[in-house]
Amino acid sequence: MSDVRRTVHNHVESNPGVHFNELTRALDIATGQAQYHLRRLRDGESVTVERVRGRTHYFPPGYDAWERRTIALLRRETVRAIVVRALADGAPSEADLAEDLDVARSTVSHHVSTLIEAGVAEKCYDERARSHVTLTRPEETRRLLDEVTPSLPEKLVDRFTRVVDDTLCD
Amino acid sequence: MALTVGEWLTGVEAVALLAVLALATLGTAALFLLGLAGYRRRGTRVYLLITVALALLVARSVVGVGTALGLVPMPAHHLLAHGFDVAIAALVLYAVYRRGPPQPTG
Repeated sequence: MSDVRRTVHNHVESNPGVHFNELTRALDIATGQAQYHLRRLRDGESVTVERVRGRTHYFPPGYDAWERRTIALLRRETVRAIVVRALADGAPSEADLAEDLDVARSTVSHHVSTLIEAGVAEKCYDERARSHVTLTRPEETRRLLDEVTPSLPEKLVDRFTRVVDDTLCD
Repeated sequence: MALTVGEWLTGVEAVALLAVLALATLGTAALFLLGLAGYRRRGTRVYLLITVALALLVARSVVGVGTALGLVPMPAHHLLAHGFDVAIAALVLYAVYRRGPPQPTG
């Protein structure tokens, strides 16, 4: 394995779910070079790929599709906060989440539907027809929470969307 | 590195202006990328309006660099930069306006 390919491989190993742009930025290598080495690593089954909402994330082997989707989402700050709250509380309502986390309802709704789409969470309704969010696999989700932390650009995007949602969205 | 600047610019002023323009380009480009990432996630009208406004801020910096380097004539610079201001104001005002009146929740 060439030195560059080993560096790319190690970066994916230590940053499961890393996004393509982030990888090229962190390692300071050209797009074409990164594409070439990632393709060779995929062919050799040293790296796997998951597309989440149009973005390509790279993983070391050993994660199933559900885990890969979950990790990709747990790189978003607000999603993490919702997941942590659901782990502690069991079944918070969307209204409680918005109030406790001090974010707009539209922010909560957006992230909850993404979590449901990925099979990480589901909605249930109480007798007053209020929707509550529960995690489908709480123990595995808790374990994955410790494996990833959002990078600085991911934090900035998350905070930017919160500001816009707070001030300009319904 | 030899850099040709507009003839209205000299010495210290040229260096200071180019430094400010470089910072402005970096800053507005970073903001624009945030807007673009937000729009890709949400895909809503508000994000589109904000992202286009942020793109015009980047364009403003690029026109500024062009003027400092003598590539964009001064009258064109003023027309473009202030034209972008009009567009940015309109975009953000419309994004704010379409927020609508408060609605009771629940």
